Amino acid sequence: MLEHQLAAIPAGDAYEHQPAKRQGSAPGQDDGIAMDHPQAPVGGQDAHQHETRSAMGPGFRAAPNARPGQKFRKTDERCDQPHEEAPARHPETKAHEKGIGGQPPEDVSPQRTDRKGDWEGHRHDVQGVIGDRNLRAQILGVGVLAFPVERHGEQTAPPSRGSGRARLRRAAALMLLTAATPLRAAPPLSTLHPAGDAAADTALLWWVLLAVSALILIFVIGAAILAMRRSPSDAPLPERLIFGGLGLAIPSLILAGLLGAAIVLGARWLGPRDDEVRVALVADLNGWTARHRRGADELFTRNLVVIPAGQRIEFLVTSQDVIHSFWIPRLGGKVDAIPGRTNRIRLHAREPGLLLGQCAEYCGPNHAHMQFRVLVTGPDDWGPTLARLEGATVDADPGVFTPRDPPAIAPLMAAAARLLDRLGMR
Amino acid sequence: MTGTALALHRQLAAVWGAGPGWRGWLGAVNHGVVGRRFMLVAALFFLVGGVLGLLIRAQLAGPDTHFLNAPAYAQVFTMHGTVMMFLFAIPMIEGFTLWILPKILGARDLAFPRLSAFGFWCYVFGGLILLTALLAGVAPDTGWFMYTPLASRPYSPGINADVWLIGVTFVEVSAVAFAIEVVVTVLKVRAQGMALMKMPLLAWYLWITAAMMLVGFPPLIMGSVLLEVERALGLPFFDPARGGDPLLWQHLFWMFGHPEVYIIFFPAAGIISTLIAAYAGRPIIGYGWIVGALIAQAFLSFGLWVHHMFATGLPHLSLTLFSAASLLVVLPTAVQIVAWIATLWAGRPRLTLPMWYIFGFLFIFVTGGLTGVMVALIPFNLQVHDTHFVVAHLHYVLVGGFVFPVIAGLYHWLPLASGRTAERGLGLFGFWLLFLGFNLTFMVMHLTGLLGMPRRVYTYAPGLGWDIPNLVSSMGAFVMGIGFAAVLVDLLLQWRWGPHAPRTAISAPTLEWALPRRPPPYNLASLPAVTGREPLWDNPRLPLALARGQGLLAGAPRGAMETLGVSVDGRAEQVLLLPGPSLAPILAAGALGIFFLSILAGLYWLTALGAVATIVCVWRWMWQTGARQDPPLVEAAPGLLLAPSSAHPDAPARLALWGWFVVDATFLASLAFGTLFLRITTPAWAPPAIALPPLEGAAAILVAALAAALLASLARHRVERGGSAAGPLLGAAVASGAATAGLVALLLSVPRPDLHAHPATLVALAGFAALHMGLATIASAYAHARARGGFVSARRRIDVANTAELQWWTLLVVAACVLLFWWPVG
Repeated sequence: MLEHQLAAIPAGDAYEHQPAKRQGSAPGQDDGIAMDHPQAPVGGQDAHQHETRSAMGPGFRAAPNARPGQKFRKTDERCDQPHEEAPARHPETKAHEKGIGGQPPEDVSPQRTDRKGDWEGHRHDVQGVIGDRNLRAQILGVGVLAFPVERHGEQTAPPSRGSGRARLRRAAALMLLTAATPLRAAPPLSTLHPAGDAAADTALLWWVLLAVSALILIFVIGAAILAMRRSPSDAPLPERLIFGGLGLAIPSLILAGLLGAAIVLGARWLGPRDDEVRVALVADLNGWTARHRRGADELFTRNLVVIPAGQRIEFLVTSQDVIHSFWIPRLGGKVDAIPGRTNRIRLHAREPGLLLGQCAEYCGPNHAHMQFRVLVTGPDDWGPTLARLEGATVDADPGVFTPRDPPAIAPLMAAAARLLDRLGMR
Repeated sequence: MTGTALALHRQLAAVWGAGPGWRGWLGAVNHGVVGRRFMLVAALFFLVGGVLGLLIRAQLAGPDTHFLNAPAYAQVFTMHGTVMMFLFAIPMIEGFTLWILPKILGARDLAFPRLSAFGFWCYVFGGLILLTALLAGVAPDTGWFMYTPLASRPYSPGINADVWLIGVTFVEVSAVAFAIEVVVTVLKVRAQGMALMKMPLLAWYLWITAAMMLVGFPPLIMGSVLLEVERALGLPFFDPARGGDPLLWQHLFWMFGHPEVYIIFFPAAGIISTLIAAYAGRPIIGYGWIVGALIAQAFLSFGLWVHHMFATGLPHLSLTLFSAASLLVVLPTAVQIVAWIATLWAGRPRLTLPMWYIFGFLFIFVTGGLTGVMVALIPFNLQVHDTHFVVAHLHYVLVGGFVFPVIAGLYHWLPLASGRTAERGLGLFGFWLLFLGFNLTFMVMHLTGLLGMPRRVYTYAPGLGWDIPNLVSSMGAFVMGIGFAAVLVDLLLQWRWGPHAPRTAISAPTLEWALPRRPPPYNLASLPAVTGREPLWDNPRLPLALARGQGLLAGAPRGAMETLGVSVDGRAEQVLLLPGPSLAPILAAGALGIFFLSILAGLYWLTALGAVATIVCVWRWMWQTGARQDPPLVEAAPGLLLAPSSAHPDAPARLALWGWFVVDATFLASLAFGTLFLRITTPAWAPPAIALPPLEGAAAILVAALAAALLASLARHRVERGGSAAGPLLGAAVASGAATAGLVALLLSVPRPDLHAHPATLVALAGFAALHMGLATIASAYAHARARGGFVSARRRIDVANTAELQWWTLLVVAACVLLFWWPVG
């Protein structure tokens, strides 16, 4: 049922109406949780910096298709918002009355079936729902502080995956991490701290590749050093043997083994299958719109993906402007969001928790800020949580600093721009 | 023929000297001068690119850095990649090749000295466009890969992307000129007796590099032209909303971009092979294995481009095929590494300063190769693609595989170029700074990438685990920067003040060491005849004998600049008459510069003027070649009478034309690929119904083109029998002119090409065919003028023969375009 519906969606234009509506709305209206920052734990940031950043957030969304240079100007406009928007921008007062405690998710979803895709109609419900402090704090917190649910990747691995592999990974990871990253918690974008099966397979592949590569490197460099140091002899070398053996046969065997392993892994995560949960994502210059299908419902979130744990999920990814790339490093590989095409990738999360995703293809000056949150629910909580979070908008990147000062070379660039203007070349 | 060495030198120096004053300076075409200039300018651009790299590392040194903002950072990383690839690596290869190739082949100059000078000026002018944009703050800012739609007009409205497309295309003109130059030179201009399998290995490496450039650059140029047409005129080749496809750009870009890596690596590997044999004191082991490996690798490298596109959603099966092909490349590389180590093993290697760099190369390049195997595996690739892991990998391959060997080569050949020895000391200190700084920067960067840091982010938040690895990388980058400064100072000091090098300073087997130190423009007073691959080890007295004039073509008794032309198996075949200093190359490059700059400025009336000026300049340049009387045979050696190239049917110009056919065939294939790719794979294709002109139009165009080809063939036939070619050539010019007019009419008949990619490709096909037919018209008119001017006879028939072949080739191109034009579209 779900598959048929999603498969019937024509590529590219299917999701366009939704972000378009959002673009038209006033900045204050769909601020969602991003506006409501006092509860957000932003570790290591001073208050002033934090305010600057959150002030940037709505400006972004006010003009999603604007050139990124405009976002600074938009900020000022936002400050002039009329006061009637105030309740929407400070929803926590309402949130306590209308929050998730007050209205069970089961009651919410039937109301929505007949208003499918009607963003405007939802807004007040959404604002109320998002008033839930804990959930909001959790979603905003990741990327700045390790989320409490998240532990070291090794600890989350189920014991059934083989203690030998786990030990190997743990030992090597420990070595690297103690050497370079004094982190107690898992780095939120690390491929070496898998939180899903695909990422775990790939991380294991990496450790195997590292070991094989290290051996080969030592062998080659060792042979070269030995060649320099050995006392010369005039015995001819068996040319065919060394070229055929060391040059062709042995590398071929190693490569064949690696290729075989890679094909098996790739087919598991890229091949066509029927998965129960599908999430459609549309990227744009300012972030990601996720559409979750649950029964006949379409549930939208912005810069937030909600998936159940312990299940393979198929993501359908496209873009409405330039090329982006959808990537949740702790779950597995990435896939490009290309306008006019819909790409698929299948991922799997092992445990409930909060993860971080990141755009991986350069998409313009906003590229560094194009992050999104992935909320992994328990297998049974998915529907209710999704219903609670419907319409939620997370700031694309609350963790990243937005520069207040002009860059060091700004005067030079401004002078050059004036010169070009005078020459009529811009 | 034997005279004193000094008398010969004076005679040759008088003939080969550059002209006086600034005209001589601007008109220099000697391969030594042009090669040195290429390398010098490339080194300057390396400094620019290096500073940009340091800016990147300064910005990323810590989280939330204020130093650059996002738009400035975008320009910096785009220009770092662009400068290093297009303005440093490729031109450095070109300069090195131009400088050394005739020397190792035992020749006096390249086949077409003015062509390489033309390439140099194109490179300088194109590079200046990019450099000016950088200083003006309007440098390209969409990544060196220029992915559409980000680089298309709606998302990059400024001049920045146009600067890239036009500047780089201008520079690529020089790459194509270089490729034809080198392919022909290696096939035609060698020492007597030097069959292909007796060439020094370096010549093989350089030849295969040039052959790859013939096929490697056209897809990029075609893609750039299409994208510039989309940006300037609105024809939507890459716009998904109007039937285009952004993936088409990626295919065209990486069809160039992947071979590019091997184009950069091969000359460096050739340096390694040469130096290892020289410092091991024995011939390289496995010459045949290496040549075979090179050819295999060259072919394989054109089948790998999709491994840059694993995340674009292509089917898993095709990804797997490209993954397997990517892994196959390891084998030829492994064969070369085995050959290098085996040669060291069997020889008596000396640990000279270049050998230190070779060891640095070996460590870094093997590491880069191993990470290359990793990223060729699809699941791993999907995790690290577009992260700093790939940044680390590509720097290991390119810095290890190119910069280190080039520095080794600079130290190795410095005594030859400067007449002074290169000693250890500061050089070794510089090596260790470079080696440690490099590994500090990029070894850690693998981890940064595995921790999830994407490429091309201008800043990052703390707490992601990236702070310390980035700080370490930035410190390493500055150590490396100091290392480069040390090497530069060392090279300059030794160039100017090093102790004088005796002739025996370096015991190498190849012919460049038969030249006097600080080689004169004519290279050799007389040309060698070789019997083996190591002529100087076979006969250590060869340099003296050549200086005394005991070789072929001793001195310049006829007052002409001469070198020997040989057949593939090394038989002496003809005497090449080389041109002296000439302003034609810089004038032609300048006219082409007007053409490109006017597009950038949007002054299209000036564009037409630039095109006409370029044609006039090239016409005048070509006019200076040849002779009005049949030249006498030349006695190259006692009893060896050879025809001058102007009166030889297999003159290098003919081979150059065939080199151009290879380039042009790749252009055509790129355009056909683009057309078919859009028609077959674009998801939302749905073209508007277009009423094509009736098939009679196609028939008329093809008949006119066929008539032109037949008339040109008739002209050739008549010339061979001593008759006059002027009449049929005039007919050929008229017929191809008519075909050109028909093709232009066809182009203009396409309605609204800005509405959809389908009419846009029709315009592109008709335009491509019209351009070819127009050039063929000019070629026929030129040949007609030459015939009337008395440049053509039964012996001097190269102009007419080339025109006939060009006309047939044009017929083929036009027929292919017409076929695609009228091919029914579903």
